[in-house]
Amino acid sequence: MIDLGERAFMNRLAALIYSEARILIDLHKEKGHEVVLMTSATRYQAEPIAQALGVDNMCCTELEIVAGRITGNATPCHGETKKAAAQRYAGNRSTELTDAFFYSDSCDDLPLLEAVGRPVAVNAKASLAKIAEARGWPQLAFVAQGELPLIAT
Amino acid sequence: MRIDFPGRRGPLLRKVFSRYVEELQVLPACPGVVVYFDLDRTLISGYTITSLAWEGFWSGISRLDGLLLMPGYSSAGARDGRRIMICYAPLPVRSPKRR
Repeated sequence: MIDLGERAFMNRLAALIYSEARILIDLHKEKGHEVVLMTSATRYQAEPIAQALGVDNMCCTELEIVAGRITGNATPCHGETKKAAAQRYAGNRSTELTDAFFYSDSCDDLPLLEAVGRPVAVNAKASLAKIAEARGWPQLAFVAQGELPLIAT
Repeated sequence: MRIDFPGRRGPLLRKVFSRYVEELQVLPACPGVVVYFDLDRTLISGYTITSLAWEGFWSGISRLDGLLLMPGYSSAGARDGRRIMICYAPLPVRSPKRR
């Protein structure tokens, strides 16, 4: 599964990483912020992306493995469970979600978006864009994939 | 570095993003603040879907490689929230409509 995830990353996903995301991650890290990938994807899918972006921390859907075999059961990281994972993460570091940022595209993530102090809608689907606009949340559109669109100023 | 936003709305998107980056840059360094990023359509343009799906999908585990690499594959619906499949759908991102 690890090999499978890495192949998927190399074959497909690496080229789809947004350059804007790289910039924001680097900027947050410069500020001493702790960057965490929060995803409903599995570790096998998400870990290569996190590594490519220099993100050391991740909460994701964890697959149950018994005696070396994936059983099909999983602990999801989605919606309310994603919010709970973020609360646990912040709690373990004695920080508050009200001080945290969260970047997301979807209303699926509304529980966590509403819990953090700095919600940011990225490439927001229409339903989230409407909410973000009503609540005055920042809205960003990322368009640049891979390394090519970055040009020196 | 700056980003060359393509298309008719490029200058506007660049301006919004640049303004946001400038706001971040003037924030004081603050160790301990946590920054969460969603993955699909936020860090990458597309989906690495972990979908809640039919239990029977796991019987086809040997075909998972094909699912992961199949462009445009979309997920089946959820049943009990405990059985999942993983797949990958590199769908194009639509920017928010101009208001």
